[in-house]
Formats: sequence, structure tokens, C-alpha cells
Amino acid sequence: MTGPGLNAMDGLWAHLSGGALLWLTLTLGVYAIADRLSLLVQRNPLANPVLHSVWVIGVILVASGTPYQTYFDGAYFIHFLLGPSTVALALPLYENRRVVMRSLVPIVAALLVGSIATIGSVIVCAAVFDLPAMITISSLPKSATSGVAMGISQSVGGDASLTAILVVATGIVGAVMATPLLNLLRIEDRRARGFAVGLAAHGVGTARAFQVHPLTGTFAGVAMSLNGLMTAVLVPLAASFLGG
Amino acid sequence: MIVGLAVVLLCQLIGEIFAYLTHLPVPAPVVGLVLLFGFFLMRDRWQWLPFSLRSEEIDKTCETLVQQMALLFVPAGVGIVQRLGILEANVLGVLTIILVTTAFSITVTAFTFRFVSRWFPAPPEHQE
Repeated sequence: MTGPGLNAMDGLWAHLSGGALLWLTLTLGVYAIADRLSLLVQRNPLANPVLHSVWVIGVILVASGTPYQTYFDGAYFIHFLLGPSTVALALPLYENRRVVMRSLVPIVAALLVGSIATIGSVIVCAAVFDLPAMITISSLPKSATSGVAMGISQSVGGDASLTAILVVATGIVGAVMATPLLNLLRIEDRRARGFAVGLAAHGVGTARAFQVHPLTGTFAGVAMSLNGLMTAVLVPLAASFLGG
Repeated sequence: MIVGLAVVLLCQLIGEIFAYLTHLPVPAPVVGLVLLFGFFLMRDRWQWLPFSLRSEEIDKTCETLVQQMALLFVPAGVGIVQRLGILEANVLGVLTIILVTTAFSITVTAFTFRFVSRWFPAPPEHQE
């Protein structure tokens, strides 16, 4: 290794790591490979592409000494699309409006019970393990989709980045456990399966549900959008209850 | 693609303005979703709309966004490298919250859905 060569490499690294191109390419590239591998193993839930992309990119960042903020600034364009993709859930909702309308009563019941049970169980778990208030508050919206949950977390004094991590972890865990868990519980109704996954595990769970069946995916999408709304109403109430 | 993306972004933008002005704790993308849903419902009736707004273009954009949604969670998820300290200090509690409450949430929601749909069975298809 000669000095000038190393300097050139350092210069190139500094040049690339400061921009978006490298981080967008890395994110898309790693995800494309993870998605391909997941397809190779017949979409086995353990081969969840989000799970494997996150740790691979995380290891690359730590190994190269890259601060997360540098990566996030670069990959922000992908993150930004979370909002538009939530809006786009109007399409499956519209296309399946008849089947959704026919299931309106169970949808409303499962939404109310599921959303309250989710937030309640977070409060109970946090109390049992005596977690710091910051983690508890940031965990409350964890079943809502990232774009929604981060906004809620911020508005009740939580740590939005911590919320984002908990949200994605919840999504991955939900997507991985949903199929075996629902089989174990002997829930066969595709509507119930989809709705449960979408409510508990938002977009990552919904993506998984669409891999299984379009009807399952649609109910997951419906649950995800409704729970975004429900969580936005319930978490400020729960937070004021915890604070007071 | 361009028209589709513009319409989706416009819905979210109106949602953002709505949330800002009303101070309601409603996330802008959720308002955008409701608006776009309303637009889809009205689209077939509004013959005066320009052709590009009545074509399948918006549907295709939405389809792509929904299909690739999982990818969009990656940048936020990688944020875990930044919070390893606080997570490590509370590893048992955080893991329990993530694992137990998610399993609980799936179970309660699925059972409620099934229980209620047995009491209120869906009306038969031919009534549509």
C-alpha cells in the first residue's frame, strides 16, 4: 500500500459517503438480494427481507465507521416514500370495498379490541420490567406504521428514532410469527388472519400477508390504515394517563 | 407514473395541511388515504375529469408503492445501530414488549374478528 493510493481511496470514500448515491444503492442492493433469497426459500417467514437487510446494512455501517445519520440522510428518499405508500393503501381498500363492507362489524370490533389490547399490553409489560419512561412512551405506538408512529411518538414526548426501531422490530417479529401462530390458534378465516397481522405488524406484516394471499393482504392493509388512525387517538390518551 | 405519484403526494399534502390546521392527532398519510379512497369512488362518475386522471395510471403507481412497502422500512430499521446502548441496558424488557405484546396483539385481534364474524355473518354475495 502506498500513501498516495490510500489517500485517493480515502478521498473517494469521503466523496461517496457524503452523498445519497452510495446509500441508496446499498439499501436497494442489499434488499434486492435479501428479497431474492426469501423467494428462493419459498418466502419462509424467517427469511424476512427487512430483517436481513437491516442487520447486513447495520454491520456495514459499524464496520466502516459510518454514523447512522450519514446513512439515513443518504437513504432518506426511500424512507420518505413510507408516507405515499400509506396513502396508496387506498387502492386495495377501493378494489375490495365490497368484501370489506360486508365484514364491517367484525372489522370495527377487532380494531377496537386489538388496538386497546396492544397498547394496554405494552403498558403492562413496561411496568413489569420497570422500563424507563422514555422507552415506555416510545413503545406505545409500536404497532402503527413507521410514518404514523414516529409522528405520534414525537407529539407525546417520545424518542421518534427509538420508536422507528421498535416499530420495525415489531413488524419483523409479527411478520415472522404470524403464519405459525395463526396456524397454532387454528384461525382459518383469511380475513381474520390478515386483519390481525396488519393491526399488530403494520406494513411489514401487510407485505408478508400479500405474499400469502391477496385477500389476506387486503385485510392486513385495511387493519394497518385503521390502526394508524386508532393509535393516533389512543396513544395521547395513554401517555397522559401514564404522565398523570 | 408521474400523474399517479403527483396525485398520491397531493393527497398526502392536503392531509398534512389538514392535520396542521386542525391540530387533530391524525397522521397526514392516513388523511391522504381517505382522500384518495374518496377520489377512487368518485372517479368513475366524474366524466369531466381529464383522461390521465381517469386512466389506470394512478392504480399502477399505488400498486407499486404497496407491493414494495417492506423495503421502505429498512432505513428506519437500521437506526438500531444508534440506539444499541439504551436497548442493551433494557434488553429483557424490550424483547418481551416486542415478542409478547405482538403475539398477544395478533391473537386477540384474530379471535375478536372470528368471534364477532360468527355473530354477525357477512350478508350473502348476491345481494350486492
